Amino acid sequence: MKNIKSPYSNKIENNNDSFKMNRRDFVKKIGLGIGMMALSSCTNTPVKKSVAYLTKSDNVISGTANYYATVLNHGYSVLVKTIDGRPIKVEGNKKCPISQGGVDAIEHASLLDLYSKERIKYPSLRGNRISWEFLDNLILERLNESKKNNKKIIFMSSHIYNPSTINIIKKFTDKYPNIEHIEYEPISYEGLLKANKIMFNKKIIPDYRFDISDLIVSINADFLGTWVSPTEFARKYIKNRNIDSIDNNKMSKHFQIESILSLSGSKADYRIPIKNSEVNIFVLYLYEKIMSILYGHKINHANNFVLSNTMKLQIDEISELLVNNQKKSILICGMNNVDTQIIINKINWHLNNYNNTIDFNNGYNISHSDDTKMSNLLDDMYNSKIDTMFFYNVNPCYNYYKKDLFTNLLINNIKLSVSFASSINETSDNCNVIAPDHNIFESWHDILFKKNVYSIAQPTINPLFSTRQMESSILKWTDNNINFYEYIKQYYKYNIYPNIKNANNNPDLEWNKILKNGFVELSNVQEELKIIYNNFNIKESINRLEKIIKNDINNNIGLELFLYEKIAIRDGKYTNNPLLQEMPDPISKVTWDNYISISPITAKKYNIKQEDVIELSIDKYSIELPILLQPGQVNNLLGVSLGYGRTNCGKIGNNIGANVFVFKRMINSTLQNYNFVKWKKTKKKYFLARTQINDGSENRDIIQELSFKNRKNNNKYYDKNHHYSLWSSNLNESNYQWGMVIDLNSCIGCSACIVSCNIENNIPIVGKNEVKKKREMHWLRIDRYYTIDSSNEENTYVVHQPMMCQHCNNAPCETVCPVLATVHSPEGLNQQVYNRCVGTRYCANNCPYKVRRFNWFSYYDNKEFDYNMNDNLGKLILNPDVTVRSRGVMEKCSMCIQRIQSGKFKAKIKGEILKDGDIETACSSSCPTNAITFGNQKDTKSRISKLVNNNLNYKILDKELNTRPNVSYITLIRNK
Amino acid sequence: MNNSLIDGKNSMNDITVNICSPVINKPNNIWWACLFLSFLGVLLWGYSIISVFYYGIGLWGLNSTVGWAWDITCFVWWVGIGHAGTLISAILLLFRQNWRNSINRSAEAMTIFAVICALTYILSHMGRPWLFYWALPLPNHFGPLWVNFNSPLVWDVFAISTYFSVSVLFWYIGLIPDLATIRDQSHGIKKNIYSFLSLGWNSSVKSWHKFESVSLVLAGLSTPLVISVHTIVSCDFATSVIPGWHTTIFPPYFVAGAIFSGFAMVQTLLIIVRKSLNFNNYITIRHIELMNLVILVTGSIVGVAYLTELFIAWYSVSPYEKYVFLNRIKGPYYWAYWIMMCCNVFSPQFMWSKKLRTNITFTFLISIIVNIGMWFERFVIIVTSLHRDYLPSSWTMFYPSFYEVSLFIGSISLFLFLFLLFIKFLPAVAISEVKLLTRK
Repeated sequence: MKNIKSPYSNKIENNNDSFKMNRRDFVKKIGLGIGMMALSSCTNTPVKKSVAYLTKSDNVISGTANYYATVLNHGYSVLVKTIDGRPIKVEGNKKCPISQGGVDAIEHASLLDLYSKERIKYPSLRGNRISWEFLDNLILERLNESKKNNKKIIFMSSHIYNPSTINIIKKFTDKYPNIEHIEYEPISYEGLLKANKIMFNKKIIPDYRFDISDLIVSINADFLGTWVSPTEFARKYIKNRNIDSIDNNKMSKHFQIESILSLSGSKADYRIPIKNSEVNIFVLYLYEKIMSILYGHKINHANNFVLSNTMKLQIDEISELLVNNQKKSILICGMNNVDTQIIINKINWHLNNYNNTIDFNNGYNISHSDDTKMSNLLDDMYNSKIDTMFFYNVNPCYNYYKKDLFTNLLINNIKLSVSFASSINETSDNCNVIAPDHNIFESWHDILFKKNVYSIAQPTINPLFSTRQMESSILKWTDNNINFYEYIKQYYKYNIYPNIKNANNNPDLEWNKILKNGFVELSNVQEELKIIYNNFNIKESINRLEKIIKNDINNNIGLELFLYEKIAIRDGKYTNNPLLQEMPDPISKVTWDNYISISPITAKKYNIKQEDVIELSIDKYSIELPILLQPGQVNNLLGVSLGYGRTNCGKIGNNIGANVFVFKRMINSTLQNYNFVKWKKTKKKYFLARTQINDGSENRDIIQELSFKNRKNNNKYYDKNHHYSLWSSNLNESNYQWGMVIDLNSCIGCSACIVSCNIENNIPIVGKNEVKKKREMHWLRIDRYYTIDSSNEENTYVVHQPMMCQHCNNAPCETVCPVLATVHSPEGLNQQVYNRCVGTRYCANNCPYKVRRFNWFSYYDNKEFDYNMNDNLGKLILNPDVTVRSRGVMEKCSMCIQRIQSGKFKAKIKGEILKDGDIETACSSSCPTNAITFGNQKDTKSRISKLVNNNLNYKILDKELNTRPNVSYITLIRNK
Repeated sequence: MNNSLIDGKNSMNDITVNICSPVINKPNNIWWACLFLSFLGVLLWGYSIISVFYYGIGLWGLNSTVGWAWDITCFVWWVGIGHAGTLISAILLLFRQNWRNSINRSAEAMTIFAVICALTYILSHMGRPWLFYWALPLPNHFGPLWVNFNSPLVWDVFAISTYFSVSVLFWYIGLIPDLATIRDQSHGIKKNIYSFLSLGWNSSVKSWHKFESVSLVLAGLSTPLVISVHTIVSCDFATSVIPGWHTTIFPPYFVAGAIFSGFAMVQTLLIIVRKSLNFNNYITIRHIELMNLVILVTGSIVGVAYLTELFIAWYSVSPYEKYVFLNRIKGPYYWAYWIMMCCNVFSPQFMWSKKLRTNITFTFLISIIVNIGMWFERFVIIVTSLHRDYLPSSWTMFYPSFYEVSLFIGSISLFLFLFLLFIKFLPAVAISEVKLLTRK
């Protein structure tokens, strides 16, 4: 046995020798080892962060979207799409009586604020992190001390229309009577609110029923863009101006009398340019003219002032029309002046518009601002009467017209300043304590934006950071141990539930219903509207108005400056949102900047050129801004938008443009948005990032426009069978032929669709420099063409034309791609295959609509493009159903193919046939005016088929190129 | 005036010694200086192209509306330049134009280097250049995924790759007897290398016979390429729908333009070679004059094509077509149009004068002007058509960036660098073919 050795025995015996390797083996092994080390270090092992669902809730299925009804910034209900617990998209709530399914650009984009790097992540004291307990003790100590010393405390907030919040603040002031609550809005409707209070004893803004009015006269009120509730107004306004209404031979007439070219002006049938300082004369004359027509009164006061003959004739015409359209007209004015608004109300009263087109029973609880209290506050701060201040949702250090004084006093004279800001701003920067509020997507709220609609805002994500809702903080400081959610629920039970129309017997069930629907309609008592003549004297109003007019004439030293809000940025609250910065202004098409707009005639007069830098000054304050020549603007007036020139809102919004809130001024205790300034030309030039450089349509057939009278003599009638093809097509294989019809009458250019599309399709933000190079990635753009009235150059009309991939059935892009990266689907879609694209850009060159967008760089994980796709937090907004495109790849509108697919799957799972309206694209679903209709053209009963066969339907460049687009347009009709 | 194709009384040996001397002897300082300068340019080119590959073509000045500009302008320019070489070596051979014998070698070399420069542009203009092979009809793992045979870019791939391979082959076959000549004159490693390259050429009657036959066959193959390559390149534009591109006149117009610019480039290079390598006897005034005549004829064809385009734009009654040409004449790029007109239509007309077309300095000047003009022709066609096409909302301007300029300068340097290496290591004039001329 000894001699027999197992084949392994030798190894076992020599076990100790195995370390004795010879030199060659040693070198080999070391070499291998080093080689392996080198190789393995070549790849970056990706770190994948994931958290397992330990306790998964029943209704959350990974990859499947859930929708929650909530309310965001603008008071109406929306649906928030969440996937795997993160909100990724805001959708319209079709049932909501306010928005009726529309969503504006800001609501879409506010999702990015949730995932913003600039959010405040924890409570802090002078910049150092503290715990919430420490903060609570600190504040309670201070509150009690102030109460003892009888020092005044200011609680400053924006206008609050959340009933529970108002209640909580009231409790706060009750417990600490030395607290004064000031509501402050940088842009308020105080003039109108006060006028309503005085005349009707109702401090609300009535509901304007544009849907039932035949005549709309708006004086400097941009009701489609920024005034009161634009999303709701837009939908109502378009109701008797869209193609359906035109087909029923009904169309309202819209006069827009305005200083700058606004969004509402762009839709008007008649535009009358007027300086803001002349609005009062205009209103006065209009009032007296109407009174003379109605009651034969004489025109006295208005004749004291100069008004051009053409203007007088226009006012005469408008007065006639207003009188002829009694009970069916609306007259609104954007002037923030009590007396002007009293006269406007008076005109509407005499025209019997109240209770017909103007409805107080369903008014808005909006934008009230205690401007007088604010003035007194500065005195108190100066006299050190105040030692503690709270700021909720306000930013006076940026947007108060005496911001520098306010900031100084806040820093020097206030011992404890507390900000509830959820992301940094100028005021929070000057506060010693920050008690960060939840983001709007993380909060509970109840909302009474409109008198008869009660909505609930519910959180759609768990708080991302160590933040606490302002209401919870105050509940804590008032020794209430109830949490805010319970508080709202109780408030609802006792105050709202009894008023609900057709309510369920069980308040809890009703509550769940509200959460599901997002809102509930209340049964308000229909109150009779009475004018209270004792409260006001129209003659006094006229006298005061005359004084203002005279003052304006005397003050008019240089050019008149008009301050307005931009559709996307508004008062500066959204300046740090890159999506909104990159959204082109609907009129000027400028991104990422503010500028001085000036009419071309005035520019010529003063020898000012496009993009010259101009210095504006008032007292000691001066700013420099570039010039934009704006056709359609009134002569001798400079328009500058508010909301820019922020110094501490985050990397994106800081130091863009200039802050012009300082140019506001107080007249009769309301803040005016016009002023007279000195100006000076500098030698500098500054280039604006515009997405559209050429303004006119060059008389090409791209835009088709007819007047309401001549709409039936459409000699451009589009011959659908003008081309014959010998080629067989693959379009017969499918039951679907997707398409889109865009009603140019309905499109108001608000650009909500652009932002909606950006978020839905993970479209990268490229920044100002790239937009300057005309490389914005927007799949959907809105082309804006001016038609200038040759007789009157100031009088410019505007056409908005949404332009995206036309999905041509004979697509020029498809034939030229060398690698078949763009192909036609049997359903009529022009499909871009990102993975196959090698990036020759031939398709983009050959696209006659120029809708293809190229990834010039890598737009994700690239520090040159430090927007949401460059950090992990920002990436949470990405839609998992859509690929993020890599560098060197062409992309374009896919008609939301992911939505088409999921719609088809849903129908298939249910075993149903796809119905018209089941699938909506991101742009069509969010359009506040339903201008975009998406659907199956093969379904003869579908809405799109009807629109395609409408006489006024036309396709762009089809006649010339035989591209056979699946997107078509409805001719623009103006009621002339 | 001397009309001969070879000046002086040269014996066969003189010819061999003269032409081989740059290859056999050490280069002079001017050559070194030129090589150094062009090498600096090559470094710039390398830096630019690597940056473009690394960061993406966003480094260029392109935008959503103008998707091609200097990249394709330079590509077409380089491919066009190449055409003269093939024309000289193939068509003129078939037509028994003896005067081609002393210039064909350099012209063919120019073709190859020009096509190399063009290929660098094809590669770098792609968004994802690492996937360039997807444009080739290769069997692949993507399933039944094939290239799009409808796309002119695929035709381009075929046309240019064929052109490049045939040109290289033709050039190399022509070089074999001369390589053998150098082999016989050199020593050491050099001899080994040239022996290898001359593929055992033994100058037997049989070899010469085969050589002649192969040359003729290749000339036959190359002849259609002279016409086809630029025809297909012109289809990149002609088959599109863009006004200013969508024109049936493009194929002949492009071919004439290509020969026009190619001959101008041959002139530029040969005048330099003639001067620097002392080849006055082999590249004579006669050659220069004959090439100038070709420039005159093709330049006039190009001029007629320009006028035809204008006429058709007016005659078409298409507002889009009309606008493009008005925009070229008086739009923001009017200067490019008028540079093109002056350089390509007016400047060759001086060649009607015998005095001018036999003046070397003047010829040199015109040859450079023509090439500037032809570059602008492509720029005008590509950029002015794209920057204002159908929808006025998308109209933009194009401004080149640093990387476009540096790539262009770099590609010229690369071209010169390769050409300098060529005249150092290979005979710049075809020895055997020049010897043929002395027999007559």
